[in-house]
Amino acid sequence: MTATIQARGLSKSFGATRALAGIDLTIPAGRIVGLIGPNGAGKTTAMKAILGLTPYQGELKVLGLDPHRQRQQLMRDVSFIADTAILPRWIRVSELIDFTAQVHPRFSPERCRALLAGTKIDPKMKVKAMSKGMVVQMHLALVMAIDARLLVLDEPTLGLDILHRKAFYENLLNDYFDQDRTILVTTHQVEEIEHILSDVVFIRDGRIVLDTAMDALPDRYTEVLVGPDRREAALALQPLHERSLFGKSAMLFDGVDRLRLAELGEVRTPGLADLFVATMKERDQ
Amino acid sequence: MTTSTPTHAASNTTATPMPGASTGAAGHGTPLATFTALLRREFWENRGGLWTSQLWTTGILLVLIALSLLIGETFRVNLVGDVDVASLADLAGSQVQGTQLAELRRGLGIGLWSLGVLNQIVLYFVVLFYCISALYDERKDRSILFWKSLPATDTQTVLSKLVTAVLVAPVLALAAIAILHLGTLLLLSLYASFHGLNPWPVLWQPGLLLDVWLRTLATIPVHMLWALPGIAWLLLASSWAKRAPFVWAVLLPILAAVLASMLETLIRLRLPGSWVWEHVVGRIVSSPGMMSLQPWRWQQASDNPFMEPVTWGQLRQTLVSIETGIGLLVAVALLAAAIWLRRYRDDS
Repeated sequence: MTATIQARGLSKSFGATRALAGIDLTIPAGRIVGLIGPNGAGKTTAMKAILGLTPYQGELKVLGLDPHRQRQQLMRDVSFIADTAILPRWIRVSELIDFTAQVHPRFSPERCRALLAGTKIDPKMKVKAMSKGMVVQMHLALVMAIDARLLVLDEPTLGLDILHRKAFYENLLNDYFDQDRTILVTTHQVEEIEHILSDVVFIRDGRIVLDTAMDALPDRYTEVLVGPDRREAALALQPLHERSLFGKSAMLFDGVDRLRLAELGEVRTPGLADLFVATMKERDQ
Repeated sequence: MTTSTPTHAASNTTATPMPGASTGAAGHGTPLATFTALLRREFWENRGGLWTSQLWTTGILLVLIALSLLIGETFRVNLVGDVDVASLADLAGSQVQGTQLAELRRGLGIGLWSLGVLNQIVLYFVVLFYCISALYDERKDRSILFWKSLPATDTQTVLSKLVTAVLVAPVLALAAIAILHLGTLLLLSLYASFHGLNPWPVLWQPGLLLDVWLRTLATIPVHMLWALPGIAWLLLASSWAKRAPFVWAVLLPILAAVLASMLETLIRLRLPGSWVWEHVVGRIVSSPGMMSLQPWRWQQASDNPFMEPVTWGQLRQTLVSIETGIGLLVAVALLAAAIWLRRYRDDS
């Protein structure tokens, strides 16, 4: 079975800066993958390589195609929303739907109109008359009406308030995602997407530092709330990260038996945000 | 959309639609459908320049013609006295015979031709600025990646802009000019009928109108062949410039020509020739719009070039000239560069 995305030693340099330093990544179909990393970690470059928008070194296949050379063919099966891919301001909703229907063999104008029916967006409206939230709704309706196999979202909810952000991901999950589609998403709002992700990839300085299924997280990572009296004992087990919380220490462990940690204090599975901070801090040292 | 799709569909990497998916009508996404959609897209974005401005020009000219008829009528009544226009015309008609009548009709043809000059000037500026911003605005407003998220190639996109500049825009201008012709003749006919004259024999000659329209229409593809390198240069500048595309598109060739002239003077100690000016700057600057706005024709024409329609001979001359042929080769290279830039440059 061909993976949706398959990368081997994917690299890209801008002058002396290594944006991607040899990435190996395999994403099968039917996953929702979060690509998470600090600013300048190479997320957008990786997305652009996957979408065939930028040349790269190394091996990369998206839906079995070379994204750079077979870009047009790829764009029939791939959709993307990026904060740098803005809907033209002059266009009307009806024109946008007409145009997409003409050029995209897998776009359903009926479905797009049905998706817009639940919003305040009118077919005669121009994009420049829309609020930021409406523009994102419009773009999402357009993309959701395309029967694509891979959807790439690069900071799709940038600049939206929390209500719109929640609605965005809810629509995506309820009305779009199924076992044949793959969604690759980057965002800084880690907490808001962690419940919809099936996999998570942390990227830093152009390298992948964590690539795991969300299901596997509890087996591997444990956070323990340790009182001051047991802090020394806990430190001996070499936590990834320690932060203080209400006079106690919240310590994050990688690959330490949870039963053993439970003796030290209250245990829980860490949130993605905590894990992210811990992973990034660890590399700093 | 898709409910309980079999999992084996996921392993299928070809472009077959998923079962249960509602896709667009047949034929959508073919090269022809895509190109048509791209042309419509250009029209939607530039409707104001390509069509509305032409209609306004026609409308304003018609109002001016109507006003001048009214002014003439007022002068006649108040200053000249109530001369019977019909009998004057009858008198004139009895004097004008044979060849003179043919001359009169030719004069009407020239009149109709020159009537469209203002529309042509509007067309010139619209196309000039259209080309300069065609591949620049989409980068400036950051919509380029949205367009690139759809399955239309960079070649199709750049060619759609080229076709809009050299074919769509002039044809629309010609349509507005035809409306202007009909409107003018209608106004003159109304004036004539008001004075009890029959406008049909002199004014309404289908052959005359058709001749002016066909000749203007024929200039469009001929001018296109000649103008392609100039338009391609403007598009390349539009796709190249990080800012101020006008400077790249127009001022750069002018500066280059000035430099070439100065170097020629310096090295050969003689007055500079006009080759660069004529074949580079002149060619670029006279590419937008229609044929009658080519400065090189102004030199050749014995009279005011706006007064005379383009002749079939001039069209043929343009078609077979070596300059047109070489220009086409240059145009292909410039367009390839513009397409390459849109495809591979990543400055978002």
